[in-house]
Amino acid sequence: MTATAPPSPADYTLEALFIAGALGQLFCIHTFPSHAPPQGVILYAHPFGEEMNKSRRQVALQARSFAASGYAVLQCDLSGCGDSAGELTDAEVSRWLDDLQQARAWLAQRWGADQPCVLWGLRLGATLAVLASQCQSPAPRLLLWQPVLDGRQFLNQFLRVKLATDILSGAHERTTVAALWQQWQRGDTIEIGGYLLTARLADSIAALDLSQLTPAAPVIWLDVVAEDATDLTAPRLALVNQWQQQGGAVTAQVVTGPPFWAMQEIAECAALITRSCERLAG
Amino acid sequence: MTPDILDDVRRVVTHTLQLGSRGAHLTAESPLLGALPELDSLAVASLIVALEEHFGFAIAEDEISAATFSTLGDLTAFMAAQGHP
Repeated sequence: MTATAPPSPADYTLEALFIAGALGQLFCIHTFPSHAPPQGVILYAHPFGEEMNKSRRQVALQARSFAASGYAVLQCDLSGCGDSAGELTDAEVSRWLDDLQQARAWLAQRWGADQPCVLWGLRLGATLAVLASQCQSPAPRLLLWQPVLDGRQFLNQFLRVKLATDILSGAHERTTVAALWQQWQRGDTIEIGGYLLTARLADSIAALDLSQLTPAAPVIWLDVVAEDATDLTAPRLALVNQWQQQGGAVTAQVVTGPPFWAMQEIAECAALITRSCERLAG
Repeated sequence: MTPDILDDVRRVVTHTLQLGSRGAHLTAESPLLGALPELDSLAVASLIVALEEHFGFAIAEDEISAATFSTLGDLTAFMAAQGHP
């Protein structure tokens, strides 16, 4: 497959704005076609923690490509995240779903309520997008990039960063994932890599489980894999099969590239952009 | 040490840390921790998850120490022991 050339800056327009959210103003970046009204709108849900920062470049490049091919894209920092109002300690999943609802309403007001809508999400943002699509009417199509299957497992991985910090610093008193969960059960707030996770936020993330949801609209699922992998990993494939058996129009594919949301150096995956544009148009 | 497991661990390390051609040159004696600038605490956590996913079993966290990540051979021996307790 040939990589598409990046769009010319003349073909898209960038706008930074604030909309009302659950905890105050939400910072948004709106990227839309310069020369004609959009043929559809795309609302983006970002991942959690450092993954949000690491993926900014890839997401910005994708938003510009979408805009150049005729979509208006709204990237919204959720309450307590990025440049939006509120502290992470006040955030929880239900507030983020409200934020996405507000953002969808803003797009409808700006471009018309009859515009077809796609909810696009990365990692935990993709998980939120599936949930959000069930509360929005009409249900938007879903573009899922490397969705987090299980919120509890995701938090376990996050907690492991704390363990890894202990391991690397050679600390004698090491904590365990189980001990950290007990802290949450007592209602404590845990600091991991500069992020303060309250028990309420952790509970709301832990309750996210894609196998308990059935998407209400067609799903395009794209995973980024290593050069020698040809398909989704077994548990991810199992969920795709489950959704298909439940009658969902789900197509899942892989592209080869770096896990740009999790790397120390900022990386991009051009194949993912090309494939996403193709799949959305197809 | 099983060469197959060493190859698998090398592949997971190379992809997770995106070492590119540097990954191909890693031997069992190659130092990891302290030698690879990519290997910070976030990367160690990602690597543990990636190894679990690749090998299909859970790693006992309390058995991990800095020595686990000393060399590629140490990490391979640790994974071999985890897979055959």
